[in-house]
Amino acid sequence: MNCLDDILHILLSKVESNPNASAEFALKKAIGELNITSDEQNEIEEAFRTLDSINEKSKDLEAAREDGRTRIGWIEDQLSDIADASGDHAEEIISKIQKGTETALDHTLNQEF
Amino acid sequence: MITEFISSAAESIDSNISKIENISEAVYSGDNLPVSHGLQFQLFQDALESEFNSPSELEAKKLMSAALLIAKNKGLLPEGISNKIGAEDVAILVDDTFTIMKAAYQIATGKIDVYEGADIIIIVPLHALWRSQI
Repeated sequence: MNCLDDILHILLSKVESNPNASAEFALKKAIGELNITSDEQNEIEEAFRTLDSINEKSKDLEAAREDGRTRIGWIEDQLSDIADASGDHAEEIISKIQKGTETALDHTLNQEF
Repeated sequence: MITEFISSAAESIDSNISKIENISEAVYSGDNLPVSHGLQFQLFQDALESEFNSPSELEAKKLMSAALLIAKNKGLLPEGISNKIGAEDVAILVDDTFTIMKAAYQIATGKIDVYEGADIIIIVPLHALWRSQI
């Protein structure tokens, strides 16, 4: 095992033979081969939970769109919620979001390919 | 302030549409893409070709996140990614990157048009903000 690609291939190979297998299943099957410790396993499961949460949020957006909401309207509500929860720091946070959006898009679209 | 942000993000997306088209061309014709090797696996193929937020997409993102975290702990991360990156950061990095890659792939293969692709990736910056609500 020499690089990220090799690790990904090992994990993918665990689900390839079983189309219904989950990432959690692949991880358990690869523990020995990849020498994954319990601490590493906990860290990976934390990432899985984050992805599950993002997926749920994204599904909320799709459901809102099916109910006739616009994507922009939904984003405005999300930002309003964040701003409301942020109190005195709202302006600073939104400014950072604005700058971050521009930087992320510029970086991703210019340099990733 | 929020309206300004939305307008700014929309303008930014709009000005980058030609770049998205360039990415689509690269996805369609290139074999040096990060996911090119993964495409030989059915899960990756399904993840890229399915509807957005599909079960196969979620599983592919989880496997990519797991691979990154394992690589981090073995000192095998690609150059440019800090070995101090945490689990949440990895999840968001993978989610954002895969979403943009998938949009480009589906534009390249004609499943969605470039404006639909831009519409999808406009919410990507929000992913990092949701972490405070997760």
